[in-house]
Amino acid sequence: MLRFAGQRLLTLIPTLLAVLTLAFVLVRIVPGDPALIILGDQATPEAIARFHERTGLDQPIWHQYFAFLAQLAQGDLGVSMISNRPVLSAVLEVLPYTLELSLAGVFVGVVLGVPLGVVAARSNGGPLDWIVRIFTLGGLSFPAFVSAVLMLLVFSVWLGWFPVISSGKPLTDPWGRFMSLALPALNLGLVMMAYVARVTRGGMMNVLRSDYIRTARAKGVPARRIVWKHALRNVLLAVVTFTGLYFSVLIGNSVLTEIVFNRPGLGKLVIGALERRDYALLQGLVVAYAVLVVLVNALTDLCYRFVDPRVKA
Amino acid sequence: MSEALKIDRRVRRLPPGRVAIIAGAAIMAIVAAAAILAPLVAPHDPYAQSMLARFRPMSAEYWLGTDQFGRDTFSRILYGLQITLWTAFASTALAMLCGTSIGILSGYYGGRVDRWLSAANDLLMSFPQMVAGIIIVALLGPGITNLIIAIAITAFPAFYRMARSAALALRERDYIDACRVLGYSDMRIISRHLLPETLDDIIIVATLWLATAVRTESSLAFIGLGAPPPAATLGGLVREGFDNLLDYPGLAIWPSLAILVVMIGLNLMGDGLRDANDPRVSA
Amino acid sequence: MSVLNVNNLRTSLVIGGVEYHALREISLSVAEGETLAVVGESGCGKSMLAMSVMGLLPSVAAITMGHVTLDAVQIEAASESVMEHIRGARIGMVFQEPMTALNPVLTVGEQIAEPLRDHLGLSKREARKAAVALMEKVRIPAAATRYNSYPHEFSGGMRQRVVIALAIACRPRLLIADEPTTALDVTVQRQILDLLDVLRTEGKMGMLLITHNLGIVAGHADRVAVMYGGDLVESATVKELFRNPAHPYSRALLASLPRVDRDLSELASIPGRVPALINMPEGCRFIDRCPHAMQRCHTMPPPVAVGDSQAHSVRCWLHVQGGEDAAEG
Repeated sequence: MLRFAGQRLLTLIPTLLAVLTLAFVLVRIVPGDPALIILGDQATPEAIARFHERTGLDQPIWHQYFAFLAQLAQGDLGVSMISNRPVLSAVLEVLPYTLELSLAGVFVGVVLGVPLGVVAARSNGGPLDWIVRIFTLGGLSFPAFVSAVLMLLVFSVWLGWFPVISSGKPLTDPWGRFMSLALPALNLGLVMMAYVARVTRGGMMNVLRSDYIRTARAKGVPARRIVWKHALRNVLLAVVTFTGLYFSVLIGNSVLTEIVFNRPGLGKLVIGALERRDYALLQGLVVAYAVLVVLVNALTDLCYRFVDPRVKA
Repeated sequence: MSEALKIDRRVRRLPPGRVAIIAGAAIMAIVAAAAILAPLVAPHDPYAQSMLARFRPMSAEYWLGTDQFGRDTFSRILYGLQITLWTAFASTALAMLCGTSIGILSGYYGGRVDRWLSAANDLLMSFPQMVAGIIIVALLGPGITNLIIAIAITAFPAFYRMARSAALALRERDYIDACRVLGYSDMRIISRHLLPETLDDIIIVATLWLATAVRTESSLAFIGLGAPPPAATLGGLVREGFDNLLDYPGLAIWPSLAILVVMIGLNLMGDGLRDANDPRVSA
Repeated sequence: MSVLNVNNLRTSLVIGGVEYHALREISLSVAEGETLAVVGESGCGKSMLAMSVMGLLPSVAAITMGHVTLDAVQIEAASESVMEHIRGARIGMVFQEPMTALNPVLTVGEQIAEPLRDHLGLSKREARKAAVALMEKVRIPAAATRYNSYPHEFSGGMRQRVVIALAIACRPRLLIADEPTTALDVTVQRQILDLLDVLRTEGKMGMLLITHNLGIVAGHADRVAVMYGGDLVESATVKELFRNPAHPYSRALLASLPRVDRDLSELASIPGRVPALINMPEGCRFIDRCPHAMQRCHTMPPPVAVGDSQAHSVRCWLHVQGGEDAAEG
């Protein structure tokens, strides 16, 4: 098991390297000198030179690249051009919130989506199937910020069930934390739920036609267990695959969700970095996102091993 | 005679997907008409400000009310639809052309180039869409053209992948071998035989990507990376409405609904096309 | 003492809103300890017969006439929950394709133990012990360790043994085997069929063996029912059928068997094809391919012979009293 994980990590390294290089290149393609933008175009040449020296921009590009990689290897994501704080600490400070939101969103998406899909597949063209299909169509059609704004409006402003500003509450206040997490998680999970329901429905309808389900029926296995044990376990493979693929979209949606619900997280950091043209911070954030995505992919692969016995180490 | 059989004697329903395609197309037709005819249909100039008419409610003069600068919301939504639809179509078309052609060529000729391209494509595909969009637009600067390019880049992988796998599958077919034996040029094989086969799939992917493009464009506009002001974008309108959410929620609701309608129309069409194409789906 | 009694069974199928008779007036019986083979080409309804008995017909099909009696209990109209108790417990079924017959994400042992726990109420440990014993009975080596193996770790022949094990786990009265060896290698086929014979005798089961292979019929069946196009055209003991085939179809089938003791320049076959269900003729369904077709055969289906189960019965106008005379004119 460990060996398998180790092998997977090894194959991730080239991917990771490529993404990191991309991050490095992207940020440096920016037209215009960051020094001018940050210091303003009234800056003196000396100030600019000092800025370049401080941020390492005066070195040749190869030098910068290797310095970049070396720093990364030491876990140093660079220093924010504006605040002079290490990017890594800025990221780590808000990462738990983003992770919490993402995981909650995945939870909502799967826990709500799978049963919906099962119900739809069982109905198979009947009324429940149509209801689910229409409902998921609706769910898919909401861009994350639209659903966020509307949810905020209906549930927080009009109904007052949830706080309007849901900045993350500390762990000492679990109920408060839950309440501020609930609506954003629901928002994030909404679209995912629609997709998961569809994937589950399709997979379930496929699986229910297979020979081994016929065998189970011939054994007299009660219909309930056929659906929820014999069939569903085979459909979960597809759900896991989908979740892995969807995660990168989820991250994007979490950015929007964090903005609308005013939650701390990587998303707000990105927006802040963009607005203030803090390219060092932006670069560090891109790296952070890349690492996250790569890790999630690896995690998905590991999940496969648990879910499908046919996958060998 | 047939008590045991609960036979559904109703004649088999419409072909699968038909209803969805028609409904979706109808919605899109209305939306597209509204967007294209915006200059004619809009009751007001979307950019005209009026400090006297700020935050007006819905009325006969301002159908959906006005915003913080006295601009007519309805007119702004119409122009916003223009931008959104144009951006979505242009970026999808661009991605379709580039992705499909490169994908087919890559799959058909194979070799090292194909492997590299595939790997690069996988990389692009795994990058969070929104983040990629944000970065590209941030780098290229604001503007509709850059927005189109940014979205096209995020859409590219889907077309590339689909076209490539189609090319790979078809390359092995016997009749392609026969074509080669007959001396047909590669170009001819590709354009006459491969392309038509993949057309169905391309259309489905394109329709679904239109929805994604609308989503991406409006999301980017929401966070300020859309077409720059004073252009009225739907996402930007929602943002402005969001800033005044507590007092004048309507400003956020109407553009949100507009986006929703477009997405529903596109998704309906995409769904319908997919159902119509899938041999296993029953109506 | 008959385990299974099928009486005048008609199964209908709905296609495009129209009802078709997929099975017409089928009557047969299987006695305890006996193997009844059901032979016929693809599309003759053999599998549909099995599904009708099991109550596993798809939603577009149903039994619309006749009776299915299992040990003197009528089950053709039984509710799904009643059938769930009968399937696996009183009737076991083995299917054709062993490679896809087992659930890939559950262990083999678990799948065998399941009916034991459902129908016999065994505890987890008891069921496991019994399952291992069953695996040994069907000659799966290292049964105790392989209990925890997954289906993809077994070969086709082994998987079929597993399927057999779970089918007989609760000592059913009837075992239906639908082409159990068609997808297997020839050497394995023999082993599986012999195994089935042994299990049948040991368990005092009745066996309904569905096959298209007359060689298997000759080697492993006591009696045989020949089906064509949804009709049961002939039924007899195996010996009797091979010696005196009565129905033109049976005769043609036997004639088409290549024989090593004769000089063969050509393989004989039956001209024509089985008509599709929606194109079935009104009268006898074999009419388009029958060399003896008469006027009467076109309009009316031949009567079903009523007689005791041991008799040699044929469904053909040729064999009705005075049939040949009435044919003229």
